[in-house]
Amino acid sequence: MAKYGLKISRAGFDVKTAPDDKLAFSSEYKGLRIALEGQVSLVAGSNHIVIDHNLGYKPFSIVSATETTIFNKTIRLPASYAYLGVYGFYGGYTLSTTQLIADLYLSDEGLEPQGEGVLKYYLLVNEI
Amino acid sequence: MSDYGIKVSKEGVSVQGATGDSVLMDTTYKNLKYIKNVYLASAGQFPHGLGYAPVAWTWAKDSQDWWVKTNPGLINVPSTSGGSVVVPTTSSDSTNIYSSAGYCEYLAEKGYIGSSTEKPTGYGVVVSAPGKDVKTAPPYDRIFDSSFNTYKIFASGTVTLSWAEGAEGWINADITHNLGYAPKVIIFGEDGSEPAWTSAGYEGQEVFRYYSNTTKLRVVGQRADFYGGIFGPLPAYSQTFTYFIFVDRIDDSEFI
Repeated sequence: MAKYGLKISRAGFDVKTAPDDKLAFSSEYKGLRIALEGQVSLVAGSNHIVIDHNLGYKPFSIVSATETTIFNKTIRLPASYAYLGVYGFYGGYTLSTTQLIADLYLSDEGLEPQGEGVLKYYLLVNEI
Repeated sequence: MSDYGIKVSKEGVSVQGATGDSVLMDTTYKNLKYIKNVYLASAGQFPHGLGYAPVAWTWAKDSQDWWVKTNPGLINVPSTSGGSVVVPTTSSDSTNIYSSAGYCEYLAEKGYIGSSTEKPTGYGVVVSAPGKDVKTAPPYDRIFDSSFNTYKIFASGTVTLSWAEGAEGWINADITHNLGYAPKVIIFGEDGSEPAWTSAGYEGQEVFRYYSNTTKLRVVGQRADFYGGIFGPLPAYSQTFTYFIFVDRIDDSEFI
């Protein structure tokens, strides 16, 4: 065990002997830290969302979307309608060093615009 | 330097001036925390008790013993050439997580608006967000909580998959980790997103996925004229992915 740093073991494990995968935290390894988070409302039909993050690097990201009137579930993006088994709720996103750009489509099974929801994003300190 | 929270620098570097890679822990930023790994022998749902819809995904093992994460693409790529494909599915609401069979992992972070009255357990180290009482802060308002797991990066780097002009078919690139167990992994493509062919727009003839087993991270690609719209040989194509391999196990069922 390193003599310098900070380790916290999970409940039930001795921090002096616990293998690294049984540590809740170890400063020996870099972690994932959130630099920026936020949410944007989604409307029926096409949603083209541009978020200026201006982090100056392309960040590790976790993005999810929730459709609240038809599907009523939260899923991670990117997502396809085939995956959900629900036509009309799908989309993806791209990232640059300054922007998050997401495109989502919300509709009924006939692909007529319908529904509403929320896109939630986490952009991390970690670069990709 | 913030005067609130915990900061740990690398050995030999003053914590007061440490920046970038010299900082091992800094509660200025909220840690990405996962709450549980839940094993489902078959598809189903389980209550998470959070009061809000968390971000969640599921790992399932294919017949070649490679683990794959929820990846909702229209077209999937097997872990081995000609092999079978497993497609884990995951969604959540404020009460339940709905998952196919496998190890389902969910974060403290919200996937949707909502609120929670869940308090810290009273055991371990908790740092709340500025302005939030550490004794009552809900999971998403905790910068750090040792009752949740943090992702620990074992290795990261880049890997490139390429097809020559006119070439099609399945290709792979492996990154050896030799952890002895299948670690959680993630990759991002050049567009900054996890690779998935979603139907959100025309996304080309190249489809990618990634897998984890006890010795390797495998990035795979499949190239074909899926919809018959290409005339003549496909041009040369190359894409570089950024990968992260974590210390944390996919089959971490003890963490409950």
